Amino acid sequence: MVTIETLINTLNTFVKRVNENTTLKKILKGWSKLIVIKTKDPDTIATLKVEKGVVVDVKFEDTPNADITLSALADVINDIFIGKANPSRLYLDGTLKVFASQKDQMVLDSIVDIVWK
Amino acid sequence: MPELKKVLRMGTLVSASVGIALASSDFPALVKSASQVGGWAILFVIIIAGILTGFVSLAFAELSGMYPTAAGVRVYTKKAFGDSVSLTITIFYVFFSIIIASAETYVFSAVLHYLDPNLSAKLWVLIFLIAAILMNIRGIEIAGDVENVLVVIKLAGIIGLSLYVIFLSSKFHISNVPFAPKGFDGFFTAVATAIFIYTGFEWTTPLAEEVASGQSTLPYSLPISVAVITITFALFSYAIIGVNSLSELTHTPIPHLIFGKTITGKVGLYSMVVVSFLATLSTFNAGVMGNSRLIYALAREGSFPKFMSKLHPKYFTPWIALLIVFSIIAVFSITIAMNPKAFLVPILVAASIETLMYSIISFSVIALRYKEKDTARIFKIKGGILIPLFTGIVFLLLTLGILVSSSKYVAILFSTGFVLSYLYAKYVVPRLEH
Repeated sequence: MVTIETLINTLNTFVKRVNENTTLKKILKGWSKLIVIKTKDPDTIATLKVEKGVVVDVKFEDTPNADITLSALADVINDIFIGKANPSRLYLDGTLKVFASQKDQMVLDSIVDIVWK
Repeated sequence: MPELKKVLRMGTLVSASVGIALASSDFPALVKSASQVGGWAILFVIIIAGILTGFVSLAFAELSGMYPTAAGVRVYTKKAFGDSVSLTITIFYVFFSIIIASAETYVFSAVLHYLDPNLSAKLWVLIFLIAAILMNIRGIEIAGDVENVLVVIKLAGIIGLSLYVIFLSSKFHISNVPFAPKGFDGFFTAVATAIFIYTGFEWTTPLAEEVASGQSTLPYSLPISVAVITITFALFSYAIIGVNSLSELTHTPIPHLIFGKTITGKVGLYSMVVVSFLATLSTFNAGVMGNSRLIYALAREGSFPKFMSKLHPKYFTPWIALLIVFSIIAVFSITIAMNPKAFLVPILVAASIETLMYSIISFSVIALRYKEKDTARIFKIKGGILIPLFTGIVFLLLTLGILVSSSKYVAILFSTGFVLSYLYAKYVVPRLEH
């Protein structure tokens, strides 16, 4: 089971990779969203603020106006953000729950895909 | 204020669900159903179909409360029956939505052809599909609020015209129409065909804030949607058979236009054209787009070839999946346009697949009652497994009813689709995964 420290590390590494990725910067230039990630075992909440394709802020607290909410077990979230698990497979499994518009779900999925290509 | 917000959310979900279900192809399906019973018993056919679909909506309500996901059928059946059965069912479901889109494309092209007979129905099919594919690839979607307004216009058009006919029109002569000259056999197949008008009511995607806040109104909105569709089409069917003879309507894909023209001439005709246009727009907005996204997700998980998961770099739409879906729809629709007498075949194939899906969903509820006893349920059908069991069996019989009573092409297409889905899931998917 992953610890809260591992999750924080994973998320920060992922954010760094997103912000350093030139392809993502180019294709996400008009994309500004608030993303909330909720995990269980251990319970954590993180809010990522994305402005024009760049993650400008990461807070480990909830926000009421999220555009996208991801929720799953901490292990599952960790595996997705280290590129070990296929988010689409987990989504179709019901293991990962994504609450967002269909378009935002696809954008998020392609971010994970491009970061770990 | 929170109560008001909840009511508004419920309204949006109901309108989304009704909006998807209201399609241009519902009108010939309704007339086919009426012709199977032969008289004004169609009113009771719709009510019974509504009650049965209402039971299915309870099954969807229970399952969507357990797994709030847009990939509903894949998740529910995977949890209930395992991966390989679920894959067969999901692929068959994709086939089903392509059939519906083909029927819808043909019916709407027939509407356009009726308005401008200079262009052939085949050409209208192509024009319509090119417009639809450009819209879908660009990711142009109707916003929730706009969809609400469109649904109200559609309902007002259908219900308003029906009430006008029933209560005010001198052309309404229901006393001359027999009740059910074709007896019980006709009644049973009529109910099975009428299920088609509910197609897609379950495709509502949970809105983010609702489910995230743990206050989803989705499970409760589904039975309301079914009730709205039932009332709308019960009134319409009663009105149409009181005005036009069934023999005049059964051989045309555009009975609603003929009905509109008979009552008030051009005003009625163009009212029905507007209703038809909006109905097709909603079906393509939610149906085809949702279907291409399901194909995208299946490709991403490894069940479909990887190239199908390619997204458009600017619009983030699964453009390859969309092109494939539209090409298949074009082939089917043009085939129908070349054989106009067979326009009911895709509608009946879709009705038979939908009734089978509803049966499977009902049995999924039962399986998950045992397999996932401890999973939290926002909504649970009362009375143990009685209602899902009854619904599952009835819908299985309805599937058989359609297949046995319709033309051989319906059974051939149904069986081919099912066998190919099974073979693909069994032999192709494992190779793709490796």
